[in-house]
Amino acid sequence: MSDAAAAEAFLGRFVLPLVEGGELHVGPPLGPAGVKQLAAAIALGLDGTPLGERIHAARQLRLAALGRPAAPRRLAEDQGSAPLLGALHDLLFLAHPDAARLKPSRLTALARATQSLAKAARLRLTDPSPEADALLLSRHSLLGGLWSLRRLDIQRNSASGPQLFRGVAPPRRWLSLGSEPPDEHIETRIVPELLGLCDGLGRSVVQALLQASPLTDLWDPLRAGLGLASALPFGWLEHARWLRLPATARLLVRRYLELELPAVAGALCPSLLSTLEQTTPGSPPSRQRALCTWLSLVSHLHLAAHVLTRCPLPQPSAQPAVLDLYGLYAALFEQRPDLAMPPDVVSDPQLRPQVELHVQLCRERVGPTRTRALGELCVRALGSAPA
Amino acid sequence: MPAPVLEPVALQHAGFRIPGLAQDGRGVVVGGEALIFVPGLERLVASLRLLSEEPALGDLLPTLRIEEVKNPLGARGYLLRFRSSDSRTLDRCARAAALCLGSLCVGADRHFVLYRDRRAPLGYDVSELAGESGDYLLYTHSATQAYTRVAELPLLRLLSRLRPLASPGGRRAALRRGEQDSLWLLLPVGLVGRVLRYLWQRGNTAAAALPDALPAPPAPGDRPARNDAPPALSLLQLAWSASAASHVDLLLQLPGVQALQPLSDQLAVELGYTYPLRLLSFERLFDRAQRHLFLAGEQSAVVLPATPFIPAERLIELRLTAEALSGAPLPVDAAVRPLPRHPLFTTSAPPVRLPLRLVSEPTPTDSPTAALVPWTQSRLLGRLLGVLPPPLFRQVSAACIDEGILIVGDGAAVASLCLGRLFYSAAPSVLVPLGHSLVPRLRGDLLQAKIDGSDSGYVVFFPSGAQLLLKHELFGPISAPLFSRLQPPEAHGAPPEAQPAVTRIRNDSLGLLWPLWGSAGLADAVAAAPEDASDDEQEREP
Repeated sequence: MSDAAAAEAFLGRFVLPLVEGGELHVGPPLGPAGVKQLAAAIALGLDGTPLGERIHAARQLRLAALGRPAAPRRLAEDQGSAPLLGALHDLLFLAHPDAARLKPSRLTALARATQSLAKAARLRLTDPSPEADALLLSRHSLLGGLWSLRRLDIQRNSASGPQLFRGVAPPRRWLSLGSEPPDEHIETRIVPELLGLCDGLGRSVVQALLQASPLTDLWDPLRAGLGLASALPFGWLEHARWLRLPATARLLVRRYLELELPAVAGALCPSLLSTLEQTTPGSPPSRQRALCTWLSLVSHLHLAAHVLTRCPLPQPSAQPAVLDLYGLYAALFEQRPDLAMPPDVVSDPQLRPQVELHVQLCRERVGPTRTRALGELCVRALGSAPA
Repeated sequence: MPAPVLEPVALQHAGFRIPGLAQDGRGVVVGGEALIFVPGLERLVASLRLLSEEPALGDLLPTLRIEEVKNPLGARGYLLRFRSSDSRTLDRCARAAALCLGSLCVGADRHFVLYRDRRAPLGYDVSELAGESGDYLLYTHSATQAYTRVAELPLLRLLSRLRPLASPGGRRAALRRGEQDSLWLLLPVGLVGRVLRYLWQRGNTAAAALPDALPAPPAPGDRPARNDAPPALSLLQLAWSASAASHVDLLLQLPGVQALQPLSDQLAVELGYTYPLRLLSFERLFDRAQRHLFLAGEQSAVVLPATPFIPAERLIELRLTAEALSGAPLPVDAAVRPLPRHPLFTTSAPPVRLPLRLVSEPTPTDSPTAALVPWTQSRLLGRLLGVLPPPLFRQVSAACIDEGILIVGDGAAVASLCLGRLFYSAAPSVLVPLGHSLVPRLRGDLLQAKIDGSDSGYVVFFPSGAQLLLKHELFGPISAPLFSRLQPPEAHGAPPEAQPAVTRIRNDSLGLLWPLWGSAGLADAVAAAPEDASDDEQEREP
């Protein structure tokens, strides 16, 4: 089979179901050599084939579902697409039942090679620009289905005990007596399993993939309800620069408001406070800038969720991490009003009193002691408000 | 009124007195022609509505004529006259006529006798022909009535004047139901470019039927008509989808924009309305070179030339296409975001070196150069834009401010808007409301010199005494303010069917010996996958 034919087969069996839905086939790992062949075949014009067009259309639909009906970059226009797809495929291979037949050392080497591939796909752009916005969307259109990837496992109960067939068909029962219990079908979300592969190397690969597609990371801080908020914290500090893209920020604000602020607070606040604690006036300016960006986003979420739409505040019995997000806003309002309110809100005679009322409610809900402590934390990390 | 003279006819009746009558294969009395008499216009419409559902109407249409008639007492009625000798078709017509309290008669020339009914299953003849004068003589159970022709009512004119009926749920329900494959949008020509761009940016498949630059060929014998006025309305065609429906719902907020449900390439009815009769049955009556659009608010159908639909891709500004092709994110918000609010919008007065105040007095000039249209009149402004000639659009520009839409431009163009508060130029770029003057009174160039920034924008003095400096960059095409209020929720870009289906992983079998030599790259990775479902897979399916 020629490289082009093999690449087209790969697109059809792996990439198309990844973006369009359906049955996604995981075979032997591609490895760096396979990814190189894939990239070469893509550069030869795979995007122009009917299959390439179908993939492109499915990616467009995925972006339309986000509310950003933009055309994603073609695979050939994004050099990171081949390593990204190869890394995801090989990561899924690590959970393949046949991978267990490899020697542990070989499996570890394979995981490291997969990690290198994922790192090779990392976005090289550093400044927020329209180019970066287009790439963010394009990558998300490929990797956006990561959290919802499922595998149909079959558990067969026999006389020798239960046996689990992970994503493969169980063999035919040649000596069936007709009295065996029927096979049990179990649908498994794959991401939690990926995190535990190869002594934590799987988690590194997932994190590298999420750095290659920051929007996928930012889009779901709750990790699709998989309970991974602590196991796989989202790389918010690295992604702060993407929030400076107005379109991306607007998209994420809408998303977080859909998820509801108290729920997002549980995922966001521990990391944010931890970084605030570790940041001092001597910390790199980029770190402080990233913190300021996120705090501005938090303020924006408060304004949108509680000042403009008057959603009720969480109960005092809510988790401390949730309450801290409200205390943090009250502290910001006192110590860094420039991060708590944009200038037009400051000068708006109608909005300003509503913000003050919200701050007062936040302070009452969290308590003055905690609010003061959070305010001191902000001042220590970021300094006082500019004159 | 002469006594009834109807005689039921038996099978194989010979010697009909009414000319043109004969018995068909079933023995039913038919004539060369038939007519339905109804006593009023409403019943005429009602009978047409019922007839429009008859499949045989297509055969009747070429000879169908409607005539207004009156009897010797002056009572008016309508005759639907057509040629038909098929008793099955006549049966259906008779049923429709009876439901509308009319009667179907058959015959020829001027004598028509009642069609068959329960009393005479095969039909009627008359004992003798009446000698009364009149264009038509109708022999019925109740009377033999003579009618005189008053006027002919063209069917096409009648159809054009029928008002569509409102459907339950209206336009929104129709958009939600999505019973049609495509939608048409009728809009002022001046909005076509911007609406096309709006739809294109949101991934909708659209096409536009542009006004025909050439006149229609004159009919033989006609003198070519001279009409320099370009048509003011244009038509867009839009493939229906949930996303398109949501965008159309927003676009309908624009004044002058109406959505239609196409019935064919020539006929369409306003969305959310139903035409009282089955229009497609009458399609052959309409000129194929024209499109007839039936709107609820119009006295008669809007007629546009049936120019071909040109895909939006061919009409979008090249600048936008270039951006899209370069892969940059589409400027989704460019057209819908409220116009940028310059800091000077909300700040107080522009720097004025001399205290100036407005006094109410007759103005030195009558020629306005600007108009401030309050937001409450924005729909009216949109309607005006649909009526005014497109070249006017190029002579004015507009900016959005809190008080409304400020339109500046050529004096005649501004005056033709007839809307809002008018302003005149006390100096270049210094706008003062008509009926007011600036004190102290300075010459134009001196006044301009006393106001900093008047060279970079317009300085507007309001009657309340407030002043604004509006930079030139804030002014755009006049249609922009109307679009600036179209702020769709971003979720509108997310049609339910756009959600990707669930992806399920299937681990391909690698074979027993695979770990011995491992992967040989891409070819090996895909070659290991079985092409067809095996027995094992079939067993796996629940």
